[in-house]
Formats: sequence, structure tokens, C-alpha cells
Amino acid sequence: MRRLFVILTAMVGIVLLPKFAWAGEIEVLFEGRVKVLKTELVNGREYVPLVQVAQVTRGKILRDGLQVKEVTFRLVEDQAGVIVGDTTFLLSAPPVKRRGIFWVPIEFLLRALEARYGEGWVYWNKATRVVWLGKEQYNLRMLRHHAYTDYTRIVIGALKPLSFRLDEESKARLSLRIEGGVLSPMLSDTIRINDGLIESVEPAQEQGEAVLRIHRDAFGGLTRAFALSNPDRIVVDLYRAKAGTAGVSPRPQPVDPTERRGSAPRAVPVHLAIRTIAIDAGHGGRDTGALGRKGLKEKEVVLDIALRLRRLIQERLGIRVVMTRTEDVFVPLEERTAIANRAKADFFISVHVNAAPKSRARGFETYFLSEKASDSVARASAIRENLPVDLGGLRPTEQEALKAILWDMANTLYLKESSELAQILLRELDKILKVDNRGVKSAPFFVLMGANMPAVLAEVAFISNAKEERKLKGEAYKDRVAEALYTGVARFKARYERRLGLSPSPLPGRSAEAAER
Amino acid sequence: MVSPGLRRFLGLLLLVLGTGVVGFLLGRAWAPHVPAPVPHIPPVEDGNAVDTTTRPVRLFFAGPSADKLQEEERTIPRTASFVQEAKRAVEELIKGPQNGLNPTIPPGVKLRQLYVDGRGIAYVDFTRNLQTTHPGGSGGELLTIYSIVDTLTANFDEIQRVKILVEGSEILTLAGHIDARHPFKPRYSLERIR
Repeated sequence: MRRLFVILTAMVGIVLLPKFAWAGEIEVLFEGRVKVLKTELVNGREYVPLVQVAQVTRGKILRDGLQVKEVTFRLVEDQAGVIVGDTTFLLSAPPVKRRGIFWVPIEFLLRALEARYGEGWVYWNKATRVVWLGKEQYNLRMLRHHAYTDYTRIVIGALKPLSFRLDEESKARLSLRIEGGVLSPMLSDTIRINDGLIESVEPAQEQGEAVLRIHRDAFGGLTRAFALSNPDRIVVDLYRAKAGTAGVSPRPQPVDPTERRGSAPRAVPVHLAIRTIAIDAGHGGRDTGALGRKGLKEKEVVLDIALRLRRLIQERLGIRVVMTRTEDVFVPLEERTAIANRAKADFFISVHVNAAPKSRARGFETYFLSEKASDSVARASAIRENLPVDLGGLRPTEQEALKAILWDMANTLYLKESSELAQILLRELDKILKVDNRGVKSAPFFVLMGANMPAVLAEVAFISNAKEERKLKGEAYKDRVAEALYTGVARFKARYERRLGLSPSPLPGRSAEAAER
Repeated sequence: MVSPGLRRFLGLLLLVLGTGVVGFLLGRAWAPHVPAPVPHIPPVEDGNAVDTTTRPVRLFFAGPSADKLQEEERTIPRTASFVQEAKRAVEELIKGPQNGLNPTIPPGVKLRQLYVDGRGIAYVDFTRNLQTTHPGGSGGELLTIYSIVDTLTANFDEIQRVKILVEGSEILTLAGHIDARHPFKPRYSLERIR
């Protein structure tokens, strides 16, 4: 009796101990065997010893990690980032060491098993605490969607490149058929989108293929589907139906409807002349931008200047101007260049005002995206996101390679033109504004990243400087800034066309532009 | 004076307590020996210091015209790990300059985490107010980014690139201009190209 009581008490004592570890067991079913892994709780999270992970993955324990097939996982004690090959993934909690042996959170076990058996082959049932390995469970793992100004993008995440076809079954219904597609259990229910363009997406597993039926509630717009890789994705863009033949979206226009008032100069072939200029007024909506000490907001000043610049260009050059925004609305950065790309603008100018804390800095500067500033990773993602072109007949890997070449060719040219435009704008600002000329600079500006055209950013004044804030409040100064930018645009246009007029061969820049759709 | 019943009860109680304590100690011995998660703020006094010597660090702050970073030297305690020292360097940067230069990080911002991976990328995780209280402007944003990047790369050979995180997550930009999705390489001058 007494002994029983003692044992019970000891057990209670054990259960109540802080940090005391025993958490449970995980059964791993693999290759016809069952392996039971003991887990322990460390700071509230469930850990398994790396040694046991190595057993079930037939991996090799390294001094600083684990190798499974060709995949090396490098662990650092107390650092949640695990280095896998040349990428890093974050664990929910850092690996810990106990008597020289690593312990890792459960998700590491799943990642390592995936390295051995392939993603999509590892199934973890949290409720029954069984990890099950079998044949490929699924290869379509998620779906997300995003509504842009005039289209909705649906992205389906896949585990490998899959062939697909987009059919219009009726005006209101499209179907995306993915050959050999197997939907993850996460993708079994109808996804309600209801963004005014798409009502829902209804996934269905059919024989030999997965079918996603897209129900539209606004019919008839342009659609396109294309594949991206690394990770593999299938992207479907559904555009809003165009109103009439004007090519203008029915919603408040991001694209200026005053299409080409005048005709392009006769000196150059019409299709090579500069016909469209994209102007981006920085920030907007919930993104206020920098604030002056007296409360002047960057988003208001830059919109005002951008609209003045638009008027000058339209009136004096008679060419089309595309604005990324014409009112106080929030436009995501990636959408700004997308607007310019879709409009096939010839160049892109982003208008900003500057700020620096506790500084008397004043004046203007212009920026472009130098090759040096944008590293290769940024470049790769820019290619993927901005050259969503289907190079018919080519395999995805070949497409990737060709796109990279196209992108690099175009960008070498854009780089030169962007720096020239930045230089010309700076010179004109310098002539008209009697403040500090801070020069042409280069930095990895997000908003310039995806532009399929020469692109620059002008910081026309310091709103953080009391004197400049006062000037920016008045009409005259904003007019002068707009006038300077206009003169720069006109000069750049003239120079560009003069050079084209002399050059008999079309510019490579055009090839990338033509490839954009 | 003490009834046998009570004595028996007391004995039992003692035994129970004793077993609890033994259980506790056993439990601690068995549990993986885990240091608490890396502390956020000054880890210097946490006993990690191997000696009392100090080391100099070069901190990069904004110059008067806001187009250059300028150095200020400061000493910090030397610790067993360069990661701890790197944290301290960032914390000194947050405190702001002492010799007339301008600060680059808004007051009130805290360093949450700093870790370095095997490829020499430092992940520097700040509190949300790095974004929400940033005064904005490309100039200001560049100064903030490169003051952090340069301070870490200039002082720690183990760090070649720096990725800025907010509340543990990747950010697109700090204040709406500069692409922060990828690690930054140092840039010791922000001067004009032309």
C-alpha cells in the first residue's frame, strides 16, 4: 500500500517537473518495416535525436549535420536555419545538442525523409502519430490567388513540371486540365474567390488528370496559363473583360485612356518610336511615404508632380502616358512595373521625394538599377515573374534558359539606357532647381526590378528638409520640378529616336518586349 | 506526544517529498541539456564572456549630408562567440552615434535575433517598429540598410552578407524602396556614380 503511494507520488513528481522531457513516440512505416522513434519535449517543442533520423532515412551522420542521398543538411547548435545544399530553411526551433548529439524538431525528420523518398511521398498524420511513406501521395500541393487591378492570378503549386491545358468550356466556365495531376487532400474543397472577376475554383480528381474548374462571374476577358519553375507552379491569369474596343478597363483606370493624341515623329519607323511613357507616383493609400516635419505627405506631393508631368508630356509630345496610380490608392510595388509592362511602355519613371533623419540634406538625385546592385537571385526571380512567356514547343528547362538569355540581352541594353535617362533627368533638374545636385546613383530598387524597359527613379527634393517641404507645398516649385522632368523626357526621347533613325537594325530591346506576352 | 498515526503520516510525507526531489534531479539529468533559446538583449553579461578583455568595433552611422556612412569606433566586451559580439555591435548601432553623426535606426527598435548560417549570411531580426517608425525616403532607407550591413561585414570576417528580417519574417522592403528579399552585400560608399 505504502509502496504504491510512493510510486504514484514519484510519478506525479515526474509529470510536474519543468522541462522534463518525455513526449511520445512516432511510428515511421517504411519499406515494410516499422520504426518507433522516441521524442522528447524541449522548451515545449517535440524533438527527435538526429541518430534516429539517420536510421530511418539511411542517412549519414556528419560532424555538423546529416547527409541523405546527395542532400546535405548542415546544423548549427541553437540556430534555427538549416543549410541544405545552397539554400536555407528555417526550423520552428533550433537544433540542440545533448551529450554531443544533435536533437532536431520533428519537421526536420519529415524534411530528411523527403530527401530520401521525395516530396509528396512522406505523409505525417499528427493525430495517429504515424509517418507513412508510400507511393507519391499527390503532386499538386496548394492553390493561391491574388486580385490585381485588371486581372486575377491563380497559382497552383506543383511538385514537378506537369503538362496542362486551359479550355473555355463556356463564357462563365474555364477548365484547367493538369495531366497526371494528383490533388493534395488540402485541395479537395471548392475555393471561393468572389473578387468580382472569379467566383470560385472547383478542384476535381479525374482519371489521369486533375481538373480545376474556374467559375467566372465577369465573362469574356483574356486568359493565359503558363508554367514557372523552382518551385514548379502553374499560373493562370484571367483578365477583366475589355469595355468596347477602346482597350480600357472599366474600373478606375490605371492606364491612361488618352491613347496617342499626336502621331509619332516621321523621322523613325513608327513602331520604333517612343510611344508610351509610364509614370509612377511613389507610395499611395495606406503607404504614406516620407513625412515632412510640418506634416506634408510624400504620397500627395509625388502624385501632384506626376500628374503635372503627365499633362506636360501629353500636351507637348502628344504621346501616351500610363500612370501606375492617378489617385490616393495603394498599389503594390510589383504591380507598378506590371502596369508599365502590360502597357508596353517605352520607359518608366518613378517620382519620389526623399527623407533622411536628423539631417539637413536637401536637393535631388536620380537612381537606376545597376547590374551590380541586383544580384543573381533577384535577377532569376525577376525573369520568372516578368517573362511569363510560353516559348511554344520547348521544355520548361529549355524555356528557362532561353528566357534568361533574352532577359540578359534586354537588360544590358536597358542598363545603358536607364543610366542615360537618369543622367539626362538629373541635368535638367540641375538647370531648373537651384539646390544640391546629389548625383546619379544606383541601388536595388524594388519598383525598378521587374521593368521590361529602361527605368529610373527620381528623388526630386527632401521632404525632411523644412525649407524644401515649404517649397513643395507651393504650386511653383512643383511646376518647376515637372518642367525639368518633362524636358529630360523630351530630350531622352529625341536622342533615342535620333539614334534609332541612324541605326538600320531594330534594337534587341524590342525582342524582349515582343516576348512579354 | 505524537501519535503513531501522525508519525506514520509525517514519515510518509517525507518519503514522498524525497522521492519527488530525486525524481526531479533524475529528470533534469535525463532531459537533454538545452540552453535557453538565445537571449535577445545584451547577452554579454550572461556568463559567456571568456575573459574581460574588450574589442573595438567600427559602427557605421549617417554622415551630415545623408549620402555617406561614416565610422565611429566603440569598444564592446569580447565574448566566446562572434555571434554574441555581432549582436552587441547591432545593439550599439541602435543606441545611436556619440560623436555628432546621425542615427540610422529609429529609436525604440530592438534586435530580436541574430544568427549566421554556414554561408556567411547573417540574419538580423528586428522588431516591427523598424518598418513602422522608419521616416522613409530612399536616402534614409539606404542609410539604415547599409549601416547594419556594413557594421556587420566590416567587423566580422565570418559575415559576408546580411539579410534583414522583421519579427522573424522576410520583408519585401524596409520603407517601400529597396528590395530586401535577398541578402545585402556591404556597400561602404553610397556616393554618386556620376
